Amino acid sequence: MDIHLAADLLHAALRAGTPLALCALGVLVAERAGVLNLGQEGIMLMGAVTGFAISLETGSHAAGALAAIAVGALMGALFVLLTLPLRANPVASGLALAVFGSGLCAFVGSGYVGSSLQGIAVAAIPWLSELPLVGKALFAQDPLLYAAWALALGIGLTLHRTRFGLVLSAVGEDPEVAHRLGVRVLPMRAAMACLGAALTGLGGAYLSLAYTPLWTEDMTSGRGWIALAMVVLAGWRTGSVLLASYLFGFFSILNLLMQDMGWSVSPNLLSMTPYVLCLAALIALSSQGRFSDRRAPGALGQNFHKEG
Amino acid sequence: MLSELGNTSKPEPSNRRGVSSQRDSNAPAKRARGVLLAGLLLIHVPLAAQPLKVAFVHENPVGQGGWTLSHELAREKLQAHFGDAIETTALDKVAPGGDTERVLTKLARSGQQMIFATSFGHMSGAARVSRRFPDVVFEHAAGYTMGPNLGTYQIRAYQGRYLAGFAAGLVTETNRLGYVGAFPIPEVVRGINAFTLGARAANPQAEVEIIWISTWSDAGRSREAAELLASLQADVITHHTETSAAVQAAEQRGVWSVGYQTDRSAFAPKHHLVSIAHNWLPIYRDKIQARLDGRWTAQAKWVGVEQDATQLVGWGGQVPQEVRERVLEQRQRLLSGALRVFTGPLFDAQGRQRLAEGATMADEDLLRMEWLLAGIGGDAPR
Repeated sequence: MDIHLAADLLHAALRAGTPLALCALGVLVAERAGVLNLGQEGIMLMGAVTGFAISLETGSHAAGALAAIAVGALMGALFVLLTLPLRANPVASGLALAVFGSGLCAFVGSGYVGSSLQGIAVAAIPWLSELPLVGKALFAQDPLLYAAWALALGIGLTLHRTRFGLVLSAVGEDPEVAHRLGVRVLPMRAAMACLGAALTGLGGAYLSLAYTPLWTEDMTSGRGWIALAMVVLAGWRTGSVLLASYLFGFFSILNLLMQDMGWSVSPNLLSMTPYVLCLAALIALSSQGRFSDRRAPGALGQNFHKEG
Repeated sequence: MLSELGNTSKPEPSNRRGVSSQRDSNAPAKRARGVLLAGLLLIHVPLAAQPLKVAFVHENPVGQGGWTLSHELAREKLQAHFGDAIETTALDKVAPGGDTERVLTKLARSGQQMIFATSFGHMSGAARVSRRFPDVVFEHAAGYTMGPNLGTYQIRAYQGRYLAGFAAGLVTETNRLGYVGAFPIPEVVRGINAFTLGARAANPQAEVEIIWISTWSDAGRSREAAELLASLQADVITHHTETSAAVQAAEQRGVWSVGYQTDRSAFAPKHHLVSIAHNWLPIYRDKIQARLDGRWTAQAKWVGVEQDATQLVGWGGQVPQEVRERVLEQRQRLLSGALRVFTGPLFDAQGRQRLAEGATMADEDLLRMEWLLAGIGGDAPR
């Protein structure tokens, strides 16, 4: 394998992992606050169709991305509506949202099936992108990917290094105690649910604006569900979430390359890898001890109701 | 009060019952005519009001712009062609397996008289359900199982593939042709082999390289595979998947693309070579007409260039005129019978001879073709 091919592969792997990373970041942010929203697939699809449709109509990628964020936040707000005032079961609500999103996006997108969009152009950083092997992968990507990295950095710092992040973790661990200490649990959970869904919507928009600039039904092909698993695999830590997402992207490209090189590992076995890794992580997590700081937020998926 | 209801005409005097016989001496003849007319209408109305109910079942959503869309385009034209004689419905996203059986059973029970299952994955479901409903006509596309009320139909898309491969062989400069494949079912393998034979006929140095992505509809995977093929120096990329992502990826890398199933040129405005489009109308028209005329029998119906069922559409602007002319020449040879796509000797990837020198391949062998020609890179996944 020559160096140009390897550089191309790294470049492709980073692109492949980014929609997943964005969605996983959204899941992370929400789950840290104790909000378990299983509707990621539907939200991501709605983000994808919205981004594509608005970009096509307005001619602006930025407008499309912003619209996708807004639609994602709206879907998050819908989830909040169902689980907070209406007190519906969060698991059922999330699944309903996933199905709703899938159906609605097919309806909205039916007029856009044969349309092609000019994808978001690569913004190569002049001298750095010429570096061998990593130059193209790290410094010749599109602006939305750089934005995703910036968001990841911001979220990571906030969650792990600021007081706000600590309070958020408290809300996710034990909302009763946080509430008694004066933290406004419900508004915080609502805000994080919306923010998380907005990030997922942006992940969907990355697919339809930069990755494959077209609209096709079932465009996300299960990435929303994979993101949910990725966050578990990564133990609810930002750095690990990013690593897991990009590893997933890397493995999917590697799978294709291995076929070409004649290594006869069944592609089905290779595509099983992320899920097997998740299972292994879950088994490891369920035994406490060394991994105790990587377990789920204590109140994940439980509705919190103010008493009195 | 009666008087307030608009009394422009005075009501009849007392004995209204006898009015008609007083006024009309031709009453018996008129009555007879009325009865006859009513009788004719009564017979006629049920005949006219009972269009043939035809249902279409698709595996993938229409909203992916590929195989299913090609069927739906034909269905629209069918409705226009037959007018009130048929009434069509269609269902997409019917997955192979349990879902297929459930949906087909429901359609048969609800009065559908002719059901087309348009995906290879529907084969076993269609076979099972057709045995339970012997009065309903079942047709299955792209498969090989048949029954007393189960026919099959397929387009000889391999002829279109051969012609497109011929064009690819002429335009390639690196002599590497990339193929994004989904699953190694006979239709896909036939297409790959035909494309390769066409390319080699035009350019003996041309090599085909396949990457299998094990999915019909993941646009991202299609793109990744196409980009990898481009990185591996392929300068013509084609696909056998639902989405246009491979064509779009080829365009962004500045290499030729060959679309499949529908016209994909919108996704490659500059560097498109050609698209191989499926035209299902001749097959559907003939099968439905046979059923309407009461002469339907279970047949394996294969239609190719002779009825324009496989079309070359969306020729790219940068394609040299000479290439187009040479391809059309080959098409003429196919039409006249001077050229048959699968002509021996043919050897598979393991070195076994599959077709003797000078022999041509029979339809049964074409239907079950699951072996790739020797010299194609990228073995089929087991």
